[in-house]
Amino acid sequence: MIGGGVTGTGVARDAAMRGLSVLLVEKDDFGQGTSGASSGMVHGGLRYLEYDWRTSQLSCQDAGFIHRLAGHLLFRVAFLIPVLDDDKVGMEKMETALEAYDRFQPLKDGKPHVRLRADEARSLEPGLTPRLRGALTMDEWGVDPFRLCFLNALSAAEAGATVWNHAKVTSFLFAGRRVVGARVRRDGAEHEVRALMTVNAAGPWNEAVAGMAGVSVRLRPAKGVHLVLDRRVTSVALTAEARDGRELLLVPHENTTLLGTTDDDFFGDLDHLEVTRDECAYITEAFERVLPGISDYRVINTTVGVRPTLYAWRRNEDDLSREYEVFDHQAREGLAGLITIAGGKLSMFRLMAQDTVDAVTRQLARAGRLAGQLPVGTTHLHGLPGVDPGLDPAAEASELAARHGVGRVAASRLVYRHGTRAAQVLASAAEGARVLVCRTEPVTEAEIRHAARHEWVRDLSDLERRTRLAHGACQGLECAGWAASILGEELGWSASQVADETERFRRAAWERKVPGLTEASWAQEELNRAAWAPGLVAGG
Amino acid sequence: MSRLALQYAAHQAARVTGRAGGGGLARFVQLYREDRLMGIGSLDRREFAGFGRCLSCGLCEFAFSGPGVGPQAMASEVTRAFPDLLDAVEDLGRLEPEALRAAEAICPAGVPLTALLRFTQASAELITGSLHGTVEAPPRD
Repeated sequence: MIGGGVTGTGVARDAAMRGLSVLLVEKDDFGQGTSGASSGMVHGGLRYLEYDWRTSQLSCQDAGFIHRLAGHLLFRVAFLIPVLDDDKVGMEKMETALEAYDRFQPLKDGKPHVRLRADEARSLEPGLTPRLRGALTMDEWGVDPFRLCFLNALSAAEAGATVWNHAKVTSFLFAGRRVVGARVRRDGAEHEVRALMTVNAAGPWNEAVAGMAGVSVRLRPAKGVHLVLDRRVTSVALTAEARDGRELLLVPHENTTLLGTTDDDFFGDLDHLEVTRDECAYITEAFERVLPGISDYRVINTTVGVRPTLYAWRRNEDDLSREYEVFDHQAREGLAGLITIAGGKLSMFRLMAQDTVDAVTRQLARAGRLAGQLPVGTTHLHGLPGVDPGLDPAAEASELAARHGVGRVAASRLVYRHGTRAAQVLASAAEGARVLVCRTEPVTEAEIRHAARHEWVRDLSDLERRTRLAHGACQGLECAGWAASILGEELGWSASQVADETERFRRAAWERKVPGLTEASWAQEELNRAAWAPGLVAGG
Repeated sequence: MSRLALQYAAHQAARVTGRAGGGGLARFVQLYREDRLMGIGSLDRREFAGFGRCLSCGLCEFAFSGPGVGPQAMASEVTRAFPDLLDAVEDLGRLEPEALRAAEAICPAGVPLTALLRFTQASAELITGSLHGTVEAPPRD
């Protein structure tokens, strides 16, 4: 399995649960590419209603499966769709689509839409523009995409898979017209890995990986940018129309707000993505029209990723299909042993994984390597690690807070990330390790040590993806040094390695943040950096 | 598209004959009370941009001697997500605005701590009221 995004980890999980022997290889970290830069939504597929109700139904059905398998990791997002005088789609047409969508909502444990008068919508969100004609609500699910990828990988490992992050495939091994494995660079050493089948689930890197095998997969990559605000600034998610008519989303996501996304053809280096000030201005402009004053709120980060959209000519980026395709390179180009999964979206990852592993087992059966009835996918029947339908997160958090002396919010966030395994994280730690290291997420020392020991964490960025450490306003200015020293103890770093890693992490956070800074937030950042300059504040 | 067109015709007919549903604000509150998703007051909306100004510098802690986790944790940790605000008031203990006046005065970033406390406590009351079925709509201050 090549690729540790949501599709690759999903394929690894599915294959391992079918009893196949699996090695998952990710060149960076789980979810570090497209998955982690997504809006973190498990959409049902409202947009498909325009041309294909069946796809909407399938999409909602699979979103329902994801809801059951990811349990505590999903949170409800109530969208408020404001309708303004000059919007492309008026109130009645929009409500018609939502009435149709309501039929599929029960498939994903969703709620029906609500129609609100302008005064009712402003009562819910008083910051909405006075030009509001009315609003409609739509129910969807949000998810932490990094944690979803990691839990897929962990589930695969618990089903017997071997999991390597920070391991890059450098070339394939061939036996005639058959891929029989790959060379993988890991920790400075090159390993030859033999496999009956190799799956290319590298997302936007699909083309490059397929190219190494001498076959072709054609994508039309599209760059997507989000702005991240320091907290949930609204209770409801909002849609907004951009200057070019595209629809953007403001999503209250965990304890931040995401605004995005852009969708532009991308021809550059996939390993060096940059956010531009123009892209940020495009996003802010769209939301100023709906929620005036939004640019006064504090931007703490930006995200950027590239969608691995399937190739199509002469279509606007936004109109490109989010459909996926499983490429059987034996059937297409006569190269056995390699399957590519391309396209798709986060909310269909489970179905994509199932179809991919079906293709793998079919080819194995054709080659005589699988006898009898082919194993079928069962990922929709089993929860991810820590998921229990009987879990009451509020009660669990309350008990943890009382038993271990951590704050109630800290306990809630821990339960969100670990589900029924949250208690193990705290129980296995020394008494003093329950102190908060990151005071904005919040994250305890115990969780950092747990991540280093059990969650394939190799550096501060991995730790950030597992725990959301440094996801608050200071972006690690306060906690990165302390977290690095704890991680250093666990991973055997020298003092200079701790210092270098701290500096690297802080610089990367700053570079991500800068393009999103507005006039108001620049002033805020000047103060912030001054407050945390060495010598000014103890611990800075 | 044809199915959506039929749906549109049915929708318009329902609107004309007054059979259209749709719900309104009370329906929204009823649907989302278990998810702790409530509205926000207009006074809080005006203050909201200031809630995110905390630098985590810790100066406010020197000017604070009240109960609970303190003003810095209030600003940068426990009040970041609406659904967490019920938990936040537990972490804050029986904090009164008066206990925050000195901290607010010393804050170099000008975080409106007393307004943030009011927002947190009022939101928690709303969520509690909604969970118990005694609140049907957000306040309009």
